[in-house]
Amino acid sequence: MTPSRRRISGHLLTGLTWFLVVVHLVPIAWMVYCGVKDNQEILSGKVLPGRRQNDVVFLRETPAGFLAGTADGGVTLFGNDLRRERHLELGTFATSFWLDAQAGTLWVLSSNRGLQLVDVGKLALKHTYGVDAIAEAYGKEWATLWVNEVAGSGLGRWGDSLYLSYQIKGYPGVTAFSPATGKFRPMGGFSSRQAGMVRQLARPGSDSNPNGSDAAITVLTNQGIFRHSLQPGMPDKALRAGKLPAVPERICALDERRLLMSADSRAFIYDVVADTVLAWLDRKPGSGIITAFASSPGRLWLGDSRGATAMPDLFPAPVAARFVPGGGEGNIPAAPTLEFSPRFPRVAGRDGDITSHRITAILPLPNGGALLGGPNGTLSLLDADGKPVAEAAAPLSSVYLHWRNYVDLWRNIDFGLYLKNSFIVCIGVMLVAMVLASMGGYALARFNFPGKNLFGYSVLATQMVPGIMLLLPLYLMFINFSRATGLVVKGSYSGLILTYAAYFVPFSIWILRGFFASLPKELEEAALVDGCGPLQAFFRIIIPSALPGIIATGVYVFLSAWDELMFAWVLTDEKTYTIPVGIRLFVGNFQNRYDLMMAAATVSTIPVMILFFLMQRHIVSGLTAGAVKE
Amino acid sequence: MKKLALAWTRHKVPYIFLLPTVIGLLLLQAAPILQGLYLGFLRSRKDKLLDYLSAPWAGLENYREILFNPASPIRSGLWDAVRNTVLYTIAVTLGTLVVGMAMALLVNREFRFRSAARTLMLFPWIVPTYVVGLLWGFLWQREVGLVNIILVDWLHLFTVKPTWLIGPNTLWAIILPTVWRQWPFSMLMLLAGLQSIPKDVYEAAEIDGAGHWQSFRRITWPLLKPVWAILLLHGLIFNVYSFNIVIMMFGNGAGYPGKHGDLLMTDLFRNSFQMWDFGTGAAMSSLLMLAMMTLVFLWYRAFRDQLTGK
Repeated sequence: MTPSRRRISGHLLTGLTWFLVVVHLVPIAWMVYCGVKDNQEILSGKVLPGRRQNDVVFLRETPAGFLAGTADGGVTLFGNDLRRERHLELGTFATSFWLDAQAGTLWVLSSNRGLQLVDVGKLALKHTYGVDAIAEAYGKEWATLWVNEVAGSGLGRWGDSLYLSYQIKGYPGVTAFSPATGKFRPMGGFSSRQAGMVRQLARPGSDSNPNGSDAAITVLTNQGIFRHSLQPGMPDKALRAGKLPAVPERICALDERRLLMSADSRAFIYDVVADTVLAWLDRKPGSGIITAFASSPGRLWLGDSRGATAMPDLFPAPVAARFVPGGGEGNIPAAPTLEFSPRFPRVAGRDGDITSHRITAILPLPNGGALLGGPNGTLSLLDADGKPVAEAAAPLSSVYLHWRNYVDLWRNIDFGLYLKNSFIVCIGVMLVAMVLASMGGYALARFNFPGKNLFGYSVLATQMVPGIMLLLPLYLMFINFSRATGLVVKGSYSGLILTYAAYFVPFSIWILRGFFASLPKELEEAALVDGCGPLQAFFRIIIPSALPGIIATGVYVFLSAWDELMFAWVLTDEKTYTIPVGIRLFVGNFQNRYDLMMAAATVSTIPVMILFFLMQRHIVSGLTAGAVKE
Repeated sequence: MKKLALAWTRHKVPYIFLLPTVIGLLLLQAAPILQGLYLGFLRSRKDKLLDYLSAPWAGLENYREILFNPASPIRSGLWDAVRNTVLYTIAVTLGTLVVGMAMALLVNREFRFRSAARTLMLFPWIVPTYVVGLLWGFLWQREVGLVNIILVDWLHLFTVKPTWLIGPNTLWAIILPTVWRQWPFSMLMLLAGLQSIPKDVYEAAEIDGAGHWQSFRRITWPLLKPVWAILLLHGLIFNVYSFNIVIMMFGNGAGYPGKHGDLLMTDLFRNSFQMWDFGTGAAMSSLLMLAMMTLVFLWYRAFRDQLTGK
């Protein structure tokens, strides 16, 4: 081969090597990546992260302009011509808003940040009352919040208090918050708690007597509608959900006694006081699901996947009727309706180019027009004739990668406990093994005594025994020992540590024997001449000079114990579960939560990675020395 | 007795040093092993478990059930597991050795950032095996797994997404991750072996006209025999006793991989701690231990000369 050809083939081989290194690392990179990804995106097979869902969910008119809030916690102030003026990114999820126009503040509720207070004038975050503060109010009753699974939240202010709720199974109803004291208060006794989750809150009725005995919020759950008294101790009243034309999905208060609700493509108006349905309205076939609604004096607004419809409010009094916009049926006269077809700007958002006209928020304007909000933070301003006059979009939300999986791991599945247990057990085994194996290895390396070979080979032979062979009798031994003496062994740290030590010490003795044999004999001979006893020589001279080897062996034992599942599975209980046992349990309980699984996998790999790279040189040389020399 | 006392006084130091280890091993290794052998002859099932060693005597019944009862589900499950474990152990051990050798040769050249490449290659070897099972269980998923995304969505190698975790593919689905995790260790050992071979041997061979392949076959491979002998033993023990990868990869931690992927350890564990049949579990363990001792003995016979030095 000529030198130049040799150089080229050398480059090719180097390139091949690096290519293989990269391919080899793909699974690990994928594991870490999926640990910060959204599970929905994993399940839909998306490789690159999309953007976070940021529908416009909140629209209000303020003296400074239009205020728009998106589901991902973006708050944007637009001028009257929809020019974007200011923007605040809160980075929240499942967000809902409540504007206190008099105080000039905006309350924001989200699943990851809890309740936040925003100064509207400066558009700046003033204060955060975190999710933990809410959980604290409940103590043990409610401590688990799967940030990822919260579908939405409800927030409203009536009287002195704010009322809030998360749309997730297991959330205990409605929580009150007092802005004056900054304290959360469980409402207690909420009858839908067992029934399901709260979807939305609404309160028909004036604020004139928030402390009156009839003061109540109306709570829409997936199991029906409840009137929840604001007075402690008052029973909840289930509204006649069974008599509604459909199980409602969204709800809002029209005035003091009427609620507007919708389910699928049907809306209905409900009288709270009379507990009766006033009328229901079916959208034209093909209009799709009602996605938003609003009311303005004398008018009702419905939004769906094509646009918004405004119709006269003809239902102040009970009239058993069915009403089709534009058509008319029953004893209600056909009423003229007005269609608002928005023109949203094209935004490359979470789902690519949006062509849909899905309406997510409606703000009726005093001039008879409306401001409509859509997906990806898009807005469309329409005049009184339903013609679009201006359009705008809030800034794009950030890419959907997050640390929430790690928060969930710690808050909801006790991963901290598993981590602690693993560390206690592994460090325990490491120490025991280091002490016993350095004594045993030294004895084998330096002394001749009857039984030496017997011991050496039986120690090696233990490595060939299947673990289950030990586990069956150990399990019975531990249980019977506890029954006989009352000392708990199964499920204790010490039981597992001793079992592991018996498993790992033989191998460690064999490695350390090599280390001690490679030390020069003159070391302890000099010490003996100086008048040290053999024990003194061992502790003063030998141990310090063999320390790198001993530590490397200890680390190896640590890594092996960290990786042990079978013994731990059988010999631990819920207080001493180590990481592999804990992961196995939660993987069984939460199927298809690949984001959490990968986060857990990453957390359990990091400690051993760090440990290994700190000790890499010693471990590698220790292992290979044994192999090459033998 | 007198001899023992004499030995004790004359070799006090090593005996004192070994005493705690010996006591520990007697209690936590020797005693359980003896009891395990004994349990194999007892009818130690769910309701009799707490009787411990006084469970009813069964004689050779457990062994007959495992080995000769054609109607026994335990027997058919065990034979599936034996077949899979044999295939798995051979495939993984040889695969690890071949890949490890090739990579060791690649990394043994001089190039920039060589030690960085070697360190990066070691990464999967540090990943705990239960994480390997969890991770690959996810990678193999039919719809959302990265393997099918790459093979089908990107490379269009299949028209229909293959199923990896059900049916005959399962064996591959556990072999590949194990090789992925284990070859860096083989590479490490073989690389250390390669670096201990003096360069002038190759120079002499080159002068004699030997090509790359010839010098590998005649010099490198034979000189590395002590290393790969150890690796064979390590592969044998590690893979026959492989548990974590399979148990985490299937059934979201419930761990039954079906008859095409069940290994000895998972089968034994399920039989013992999910069916709570310790008698047959212990009998199977005893047989397994016997088989392993035989294999290790054969290994020792084959490589005795290399291990004791020329």
